[in-house]
Amino acid sequence: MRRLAAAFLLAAALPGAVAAAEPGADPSIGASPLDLAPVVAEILLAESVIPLEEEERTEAGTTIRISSDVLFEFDSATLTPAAAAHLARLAERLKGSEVEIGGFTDSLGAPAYNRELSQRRANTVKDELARLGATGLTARGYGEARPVAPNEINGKDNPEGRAKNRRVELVFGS
Amino acid sequence: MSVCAMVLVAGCSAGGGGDGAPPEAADAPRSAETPQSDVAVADPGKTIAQAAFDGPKGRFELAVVSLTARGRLANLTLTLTPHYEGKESALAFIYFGGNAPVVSLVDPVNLKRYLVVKDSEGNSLGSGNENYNIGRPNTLNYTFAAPPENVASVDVQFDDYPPFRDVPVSR
Repeated sequence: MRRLAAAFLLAAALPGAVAAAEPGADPSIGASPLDLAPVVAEILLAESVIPLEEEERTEAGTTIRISSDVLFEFDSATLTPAAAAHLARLAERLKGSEVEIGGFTDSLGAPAYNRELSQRRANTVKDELARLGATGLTARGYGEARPVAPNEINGKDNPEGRAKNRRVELVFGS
Repeated sequence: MSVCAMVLVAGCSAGGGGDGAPPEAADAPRSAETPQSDVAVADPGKTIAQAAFDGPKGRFELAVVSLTARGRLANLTLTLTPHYEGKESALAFIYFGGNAPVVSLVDPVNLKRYLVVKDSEGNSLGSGNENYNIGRPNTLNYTFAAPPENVASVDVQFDDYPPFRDVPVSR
C-alpha cells in the first residue's frame, strides 16, 4: 500500500520521468518540468592567479607596478630577499633612463602614516636601484592617493582592491 | 591593528621543531594513498608555522597545518583559536569586524598571488563565514590553484596580518 502511495506521489511530481519509464507511453506528454541533469560546476583556476607585477606602456612612457606585498616586509620599508633579487634584474633595464619611483598604500590606517610609509618605501627602492648603478632616480610617497582599484565596494571592504593599491610604481621614458 | 607576535615558520629551522612544532610536521611527504579526510581533520598539535595576533574582538592564535599540492589544486589547512571575552562562539564576520578573513598565497619569486578558487556557480572553495568555537582550535580549509612544480614555498597571507613566510608546499 505504501509503495502504491509512493508511486502515485512520484507520478504526480515527475510526470515526465514516469512517462519515460513506461514503454509505449504517450510521447505527447511533456518532459519533466524539473531539470534532473546533474550540475557539475567547473573550477575557475585562471581567474584565481593574479600577477603581482604589471607593465603598462603608453606614448608617455612605461609604468611597472610591483606589489608591496612581495617587495617589503610587513608594515615596513625593509626589502624582502626576493625583492632585492628582482630589483637587481630591473636595475639593468633602467640604467640610462630617468625613473620616477612612486610609493602607494591601501586605505587602511591613518593617511599621514600611509604617506610616510609610502615615502620610506619609495626611498628604499631608489636607494637600492642607485646602489645597483641606476641614475636619474626620484622618489615620492603618495600614501593612499591615486588608487588603481577600489578600496571599498558599496561601503564594504574590498581586500582584492586594497592589495592592488599597495604598490610601488616605476615610471620611465622607454 | 597591532601585531604582537613574531611569525614563526618552524618548518624552515634546521633543527626541525625548534619553534614548538614536531620535526615531522613541517614538510613530510604524503603518500599517494593519503585520504582526503586527512586534511579535513586538522591536528592543531602538528603545525608548520604559528603566530598570535590581536584581532578586533580579541587575541587569536593562527597556525598553518598543511599546504599540499595535488594535481592542479593546492589545499591549505589552518587552525584558528580565537579568544573573545564572554563568548562561546562567534561568526567569522563578527569576530573579524565585518568581513570573513581573506586568505591568499603569495609566490614572491614568480610574483603571483593565488586567491581562493571559485567554481562556475560563483562558490568560493574555502572557509567563509564560519561559526568559530571560542577558545578552541577551529579548522579552516582553502583551495587554490597549485603553484608550479618549481615553487617550493610560498607566503601565506591571512587577512591584513603579517604573512607566514616561506611555507613549504608538499607534493
